Amino acid sequence: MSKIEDALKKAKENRSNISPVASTSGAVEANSVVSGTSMSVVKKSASLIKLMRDEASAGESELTSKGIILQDSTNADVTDSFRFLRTQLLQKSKNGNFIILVTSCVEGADSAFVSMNMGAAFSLDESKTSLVLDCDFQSDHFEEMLGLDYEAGLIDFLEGEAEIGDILKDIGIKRLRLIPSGHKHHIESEYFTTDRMKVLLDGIVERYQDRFVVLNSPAISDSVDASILVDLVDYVVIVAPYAGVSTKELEESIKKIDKSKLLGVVINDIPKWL
Amino acid sequence: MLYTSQELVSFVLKDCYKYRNKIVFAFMLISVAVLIVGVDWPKLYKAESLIYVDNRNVIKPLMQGAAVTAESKDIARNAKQIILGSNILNKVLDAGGWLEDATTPVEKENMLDSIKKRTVIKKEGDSLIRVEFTDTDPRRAYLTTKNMAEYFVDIGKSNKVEESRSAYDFIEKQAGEYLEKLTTVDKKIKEFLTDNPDARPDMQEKVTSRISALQLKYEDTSLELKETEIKKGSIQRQLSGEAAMTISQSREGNYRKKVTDMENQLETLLLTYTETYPDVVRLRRQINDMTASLEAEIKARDEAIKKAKETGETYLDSSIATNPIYQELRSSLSRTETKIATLNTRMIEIKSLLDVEYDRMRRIEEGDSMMQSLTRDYEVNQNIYQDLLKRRENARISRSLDTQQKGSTFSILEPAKLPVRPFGLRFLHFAILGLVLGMVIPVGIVFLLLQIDGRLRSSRAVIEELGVPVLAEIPHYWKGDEKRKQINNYRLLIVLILSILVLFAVVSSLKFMGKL
Repeated sequence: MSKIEDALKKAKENRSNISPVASTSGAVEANSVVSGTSMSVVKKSASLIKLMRDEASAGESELTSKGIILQDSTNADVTDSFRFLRTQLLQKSKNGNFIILVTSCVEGADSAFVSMNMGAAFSLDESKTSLVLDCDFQSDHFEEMLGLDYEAGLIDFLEGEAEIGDILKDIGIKRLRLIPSGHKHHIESEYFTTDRMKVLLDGIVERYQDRFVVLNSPAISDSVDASILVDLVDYVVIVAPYAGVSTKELEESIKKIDKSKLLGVVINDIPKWL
Repeated sequence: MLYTSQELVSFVLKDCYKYRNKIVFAFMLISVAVLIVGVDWPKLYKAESLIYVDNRNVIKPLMQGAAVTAESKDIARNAKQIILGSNILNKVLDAGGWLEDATTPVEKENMLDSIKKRTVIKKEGDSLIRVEFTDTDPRRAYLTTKNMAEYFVDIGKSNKVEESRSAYDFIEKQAGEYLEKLTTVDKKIKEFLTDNPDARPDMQEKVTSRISALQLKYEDTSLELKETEIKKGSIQRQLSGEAAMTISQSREGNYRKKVTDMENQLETLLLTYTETYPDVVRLRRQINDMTASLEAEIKARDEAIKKAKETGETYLDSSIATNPIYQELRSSLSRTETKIATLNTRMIEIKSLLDVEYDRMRRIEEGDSMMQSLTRDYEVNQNIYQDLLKRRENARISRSLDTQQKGSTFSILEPAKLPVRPFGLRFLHFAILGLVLGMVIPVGIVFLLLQIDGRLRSSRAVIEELGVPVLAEIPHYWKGDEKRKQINNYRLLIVLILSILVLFAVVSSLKFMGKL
């Protein structure tokens, strides 16, 4: 048996151990958010989250296969870039927590990769936690990337078919939670204009001082959702694939975004020899 | 989009990564293709020879100043025409063993064309010619170049001898022609002089002096004639009636004087004597006689005049006719008249002589211009002839010089050598070229594609053109065993490249061993 297999096995065991805990705590959160009865409950939940046992961690090979950055890995350069990005964002936000939207200028810019790893980069810092929301209802990039089953997610929550505890996922990364997009078979209306979305976001930010929320949105050139989401967030980052768009296309996308919220461009997937 | 050189290198490298498989494939294809060309590329050997050519024209210095000769400056072209002329080329074909391959006339013609194409003849300096010949066979290249140079020098030398001989002949011929001309003109002059005795150069002077003498004589004669005529007039006047009358009147006067004298005598006698005194009476009678004679004289004269007037003849008194003075006058008149006639005749004579001289003068002038032109011809021809004689001697010397080959005019300075090393593109060049082109062409294409690809690569462009900061540039993430696959891919590519290098090495060594 190789070391890798050992690690994999260990990781699985860890996940199975942590999952129930995460779900419970997620459920507590969700309940308090939805009901929104009293702040005391919320604060209690916050301390709960902070105290939550978060030892369970996905193995290196698992993360590597999913394309998620690690502290030390073969993709140290990618990790470093995301750390640098994190530092940039923190500087711009003056070290407060925020909700940031990661959108792309064209389909295929892989904003899922950037948003996921941005979240991972925040969570690398032991004093910070992050939440990644997949708001891309049009594609399965996120699910494909993480190998998620089509389980309950943001849509289900917004439609009121699921509680927050059902959709808050732990994928084995410390201090990182994920809300997948959910069942995409019944997309009907613009969910993001509903109060539930706003309440969800406000609740998350207010409750945890060091929680950074990263929203993954579809390409701004293709989707109205992205434009709506821009209004809900504090900052916007636009992803441009290396040698994938013309300057003009990128300019068009930038025009659609509120200047005060746009922090800048992230050039993604720059080829390298090794 | 203009990239900085740093960006350019980085982007080209990234694109090379993207097209790595294609690039390696293209590298293999191109290098092997060039290698195949190199294997089949014929080895070319070049032999060369340097020839000294004296391009000085023989006739030119000989005829310096006398005739203008055509300049033949382009010795290389002349040499080319001579060497590539059928004369030498056919000999070269025979000697170089070319004809073994070419039997039909068409093949031979093609062979000649190919030789011409492979021959380079160029001028070096003022009087050096380099002959180069390229062939796949070093021995044949050597032989052909050697033969070309040798035949060219042979022909050049014999041409030179021929040239100086023909120069001599030419000058000799010219001298002969001029001599002939000279003789002709000489003969013409003689003939002319025979035909025109007056045309001697001193004749004009003589005739001129003669004319002036004749003119002087004529004038003198005419003057004399005039004088004589006046004299004649005066004698005639003296002899005319009036003169006779004068004579007659003087006789009358004599009578009157005698009458008067006798009357005076009578009166004197009467003073002393009476009327009857015999002397008085004789005197009285004498007076009466005298008076009667006087009257008769007057009457006779008047009648004579009247008669003379009627007849128009000179009245001549018989007394006058017998008068010695009159006789004298008459003879003088006759002499004068004779003189006048003589003078007139002389005038006519002189006049005719003058005419003759004038005529001669005219003829002399005509003859003179003719003579002048003849003399001029003669002089010109004589000058040229003498000049040619001098030059002929020079030509004779240079002819003997060239015949004895003393003046070095054509010589091979550098004889052709058997070429040992092939020239031009050799296999090694192709090997290197193949590898270099195999690398440069695909990368060059990537480079060119990058130039026309307007897609965004540079963060600088985002910042500068859109004014938006670039927060991060995220490299590619190797997912799972992607990196391992990548390394395997590289290994494969390296193996492919190495196999090409090995192929090159093997083919090169085979080539050098002569097995290919």
